[in-house]
Order: sequence, then structure tokens, then C-alpha cells
Amino acid sequence: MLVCTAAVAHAASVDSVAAGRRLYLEGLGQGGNPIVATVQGDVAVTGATAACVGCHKRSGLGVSEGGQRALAVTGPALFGSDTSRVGNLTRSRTAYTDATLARAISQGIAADGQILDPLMPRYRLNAEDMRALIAFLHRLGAEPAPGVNENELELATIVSAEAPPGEREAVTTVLRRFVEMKNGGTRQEEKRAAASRRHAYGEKHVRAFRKWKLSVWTLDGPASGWPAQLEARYGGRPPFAIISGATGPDWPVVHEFCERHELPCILPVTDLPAESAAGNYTVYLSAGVRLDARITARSITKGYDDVDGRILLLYVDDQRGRAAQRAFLEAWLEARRGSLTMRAIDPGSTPTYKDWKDVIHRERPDVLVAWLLPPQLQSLTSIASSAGTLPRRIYTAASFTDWSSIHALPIFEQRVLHVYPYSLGAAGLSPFPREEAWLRSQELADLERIPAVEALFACHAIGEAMADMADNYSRDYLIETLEHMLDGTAMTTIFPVTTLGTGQRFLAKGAYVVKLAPGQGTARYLNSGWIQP
Amino acid sequence: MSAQTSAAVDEHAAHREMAAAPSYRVSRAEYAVPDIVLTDEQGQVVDLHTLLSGDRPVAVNFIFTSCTTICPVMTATMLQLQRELVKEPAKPMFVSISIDPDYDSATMLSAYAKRFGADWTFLTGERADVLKVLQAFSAWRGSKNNHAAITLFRSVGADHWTRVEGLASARQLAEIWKKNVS
Repeated sequence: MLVCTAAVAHAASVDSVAAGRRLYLEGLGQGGNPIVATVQGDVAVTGATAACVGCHKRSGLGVSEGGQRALAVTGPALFGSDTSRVGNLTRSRTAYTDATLARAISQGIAADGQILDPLMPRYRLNAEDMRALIAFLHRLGAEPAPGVNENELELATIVSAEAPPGEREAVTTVLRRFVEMKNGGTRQEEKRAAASRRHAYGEKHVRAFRKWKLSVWTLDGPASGWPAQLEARYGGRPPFAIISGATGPDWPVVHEFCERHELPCILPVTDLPAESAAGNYTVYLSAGVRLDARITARSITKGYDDVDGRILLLYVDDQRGRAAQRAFLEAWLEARRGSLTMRAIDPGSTPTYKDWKDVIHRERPDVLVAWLLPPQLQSLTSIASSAGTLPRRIYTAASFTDWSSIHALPIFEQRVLHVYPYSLGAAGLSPFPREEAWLRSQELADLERIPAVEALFACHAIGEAMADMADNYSRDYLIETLEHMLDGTAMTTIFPVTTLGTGQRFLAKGAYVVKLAPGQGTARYLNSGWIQP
Repeated sequence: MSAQTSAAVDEHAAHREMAAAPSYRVSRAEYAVPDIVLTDEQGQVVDLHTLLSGDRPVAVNFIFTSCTTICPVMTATMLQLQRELVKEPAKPMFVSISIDPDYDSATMLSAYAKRFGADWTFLTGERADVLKVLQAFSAWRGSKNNHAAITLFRSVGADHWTRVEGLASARQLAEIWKKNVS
């Protein structure tokens, strides 16, 4: 009977598995009808709210949250003979058959006859939907993840010449050094892992040890040619995950590639992530220029009662500038304070004193937002000599302008409010003490600081997640683990506040609006306020 | 084939379920509602103290929109509780407070309410303010992923709350309400 059941399951048609997958992920039965279930004894839930994925997750490895534990439901976890090492199962349980699993799904009775927690919905599925779901569960997590074997974990990072050289160097140098040290084996990790695998009660985290193998994928030429290059690299040797990376403003091309292959991409260095937060596989540090733009709009419109106030937005007419402009406009339209004029500045041009003067005289802005390239910002300050013509407030943003270039513009800096998402160090102290200690100890303190710190954080995040996952190597489980682990993490000092959750893909959600201190002293700023849009 | 044979209903499942230990705990507690201004799902400013001190008994719970485990169940339970209490003389006022103000904007809350067909008040606010509210109700566990299922009931003008900790059925909640709230 058991043999027969297994044969039926394995012979399940592709269509049936796909239908089961849809039911698991979206809560839709065949024919597209929302599934119906009862939870907590008498509460009706349907469709997406009743979908298995909510608790058991895409990986099927389950979750512990809010004092409740949703157990692993992968093929091996349900039907395997030894399930004590799968997901969040801590002991072996009676293996399910298709029949006992159907009973669990519809009536909440486990294979061993125990009643499942009332939080597990009791589903009313027709026979066809039940068969499809069970066929899908047989397949879920049944194949080993790409890029991992008993000894090695393959990771790749992606860079291109579109990213500034300093950024690329920081990313690749930090990653290579971290991997080198991790593989150093100073704690006999390989030996202990091998020993642990021989024993039933070997510690999970020791058993989970793998040497990391890092490949650096360098993309050449324009972004239109990247998909083919990415496919070629991937086809040759698919990694388990992409770690960090720096490709300049065309990161969305990489984002799409990772979605296509359900390939986790952890904390790339980019200020232009894919626009839509839709997508499962890339976890970003922040929304980059769009976050800057929303914070700027919020800072301007919050408590800004001057309905006749004039806002002038000057932005560099490239991908980053245009993305920031669109995000700003969207946020400003919601609040609509004052009047807004926007002007795109060709990235290849540096307007003259007269050009700027014409613009400023014509628009007479009360508030100026300047998202410009450094030489353009420099030339804009040429009109600062006639300070009377300058607007009261000038907004700059970390994605476009760094502190030092503002400090180099003394008349400007008194009016500047700088939007800055990273931690602010106290006077004379490092804002990123944890990461800088490591960089110094590795004699890498000369690397460009922010990308170096971000790349190091990506290493720590993946390392910690792997330890937590034990030897459940699943790409989806990596993402799910990070969703929990990075919420409010103290693993990095780069951002003052970090939050994440299921489906959330941007770790930093706010920024400081900083009034700068004059001059080049140790104090970089006078005061700051934190804004979360 | 096997799926079909198992579709027969076990008539005793519900009885066995009821016989299991209850998954919730009811207690009586006093909280000082902090004097804090929050934002509702319409983006309107709401004074929490005033909102909770009106002429209707209140039911409060704590959720976040990106939670896919217990929060959807709590929201669905609240919705069903609302139906269970429809004949009560004093019309209850329901309030759900987000424990993830960093992500849960008014817009997010509004979409969440619509998804469930929930017509009550959803609140978010500045991170520090929301934290104070959660602490005042003893509902903060250090991280949103470590959240607890907490439902609070209070009669009009009462100085104490009925606290239900854990997940209960809508009918169980309705019974607790009827016993404790007027």
C-alpha cells in the first residue's frame, strides 16, 4: 500500500504539482477559487489568508513566531523516515502517508493520531485540490539546493565597470578577505563537521559548516548585454546565493536575473534597487535614492505651512537623478505644500554662474533641492557670493553628495539640510565602530568606507543565517531566516535603525536630516532629526 | 486515491479539540493609557486616550501587516467576534495597533483592513510613540517577530482591562467579552 501510494505521488503530473504549488502559495484551488478553511475552531479563513505559505513558508521548513511553531512540511519532513534534522523539527515524527496527510490537512489529526494545534487550519478541499497539494508537498524541498555540497558552499558576487572603481574595490576586497578568513579553519571546523556528521546527535551548527567558495562575476559592456553574461556564468556553476555586489545604476538587471532563478541576493551595494518591491529574492540595504527623495519630500512638507512657498528641484538627468525625481514628485503630490518646479540638468554639462543665476532669479525658490554631480554642485555655489539670492533651505542627499564636498562650500553649508541614512558618530568617534575595528585589523581601512562596511555586513548576515539554518540548505530558507534575523539586528552599526519582516525587502527605512556644523572640525553636524516616511 | 479515502469526516475531532488544554489565558489588568497621538488607517491624527475613553466598550489587539502567521488569524478572529457581538447592547469599538510602525504606514494599514473587510480603527505612529503604547499595555516582546497574541477588553469607564493572552476561537472570545464587559 505504501509503495503504491509513493508511486502515485511520484507519477503526479506536472500540472497537478503546479496546481498544488498555486494552492500552497496563493490559496487558490483549481479553477482559481479561493480555498476555504477553519482556524482556531470556528474562524473562517479563505484564499491568501488560508494559504499554507503564510506559516510553513516558501521553503516549507516552517517558522517559529509569536510563541507558535509551524512545523516543516517539505517532502522529506513529511514522508521521510528520519525527520529530526529537517527545518524546525527537533525530533523525528511518524512519517505521513498520502492518506494520513490528507486527514491532517482536513481534520487536523497527525500521522500518530495527535490533534494538531487549532492554529493549523482545517481545510475543506475537494479531492482534486487535495491530490494536487499532496503531490506538490512530495516535491517541496526534495531536491538539494544548487551551489552546495557536503563540503562547500558556492557564493558569487557581481560587479561591473558601471560602478565607481572605489566601490568595486571595497566590495571585492572585503568579500575575498572575509572568505579567506572564514575558510582559515582556525577552529578545526572541517574536522568537527565531519565528526558531527557521523553521529546522530552531532550538533547541527557544526555539521552545517561548509567552506565558502567565492566567485567574482564581472559584467562587461552595456547592461543590455548583461542577461546573457549572467546566464552563462550561472549555467556553468550556479551558486547558492549572490553576496553583496556593485554594478552601478543598472542593478535592476541583476535583480531580474535573481528572480528568474529564485536565487537569493543578499545586500548588494546599490542606491538604485529595482523599483518595485515585488520580488522575493533580493534583500536590499535601503531604497537608496528613492529613500532620500521620500525623506526630503517629507522633511519639506511636514509642518510646512507656507502654501505660497516655492520649491525648486534640480536633479542630474541620469538614471539615479530621474528615479529620485519621480519618487520625490510622488511623495510631494500626496502632501502638496507650496509650488514645485523641477529642472533636469544634463550630466555631461556644468552650468555656468550665469546659467544658475538665471534659474535662481527666475524661480526665486524658498527651498532648493540639489541632487547634482559634484562639479555641478560646485558651480552652483558660485552664485553663493551673492548670498541674498540663495534660498533659505538647500537639501542635499547622501546618494548624490558626501559630507566633505558640502563642507568645501562654506556659504552653502549654513543653509544645507543633508539627508543621510547611516549612523552618525559622535564628534571624533567612528560611526561604524564594529566594522571599522575589523577593517583596521585587516589593514583595509583605506577602502571606501560605506561600501566596505556594507560588504562586510553582507558577509556577517549570510554567516549568521547559515549558522541558524543549521544544515537546512534551502535558498528560500536563507531569505526567511534573514527576514527574522535582520529585524532590529545589532549585527551591524551601519544604520541606526534596521527593520525587516516577511516580504519586506529594504532594511533601512528612514534617514537623518542633518544640519551641518560649519568648517572641517571634528563635529560634522549641529543637529539632526530622524524621519521615517 | 488515498486522498479520497481519507476525506471521510472524523466526527469526534471537534470534541477532542475542545478537550485539549485551552491555548489562552484570561487575566485582569490595569494599564495607564499613555497620552500619545497616533495615526489611523485614513492618515488622521488620533489621540489614543480620547479614542479609548469614549462611550463604547473597547477591544484592542496588536498586529502588523507583513505578519503571515498569527496576525491574519487574529484579524480574522476579530472580524468574526464582531459578528458574534452584533446583538450586544453596547456596541463594541475595535482597535488594532500596529507593532511595526517602520513599515506599516496609514496606506499599508488601510490596504490590510480592506483585504480582510475589517471596518474598525487601525493605528500606527512614530516608532517611539508606538513603543510607549506597546510597553504601557505590556505587549512588547523586544522584536515584532517575537510578538504575542494579546486581546484586551474594557468596559466603558472601567479602570481595569480583561486581558486574553494566546489565541482563542471567536466564540470563546465572545464568551469572555460577555462575562467581563458591559
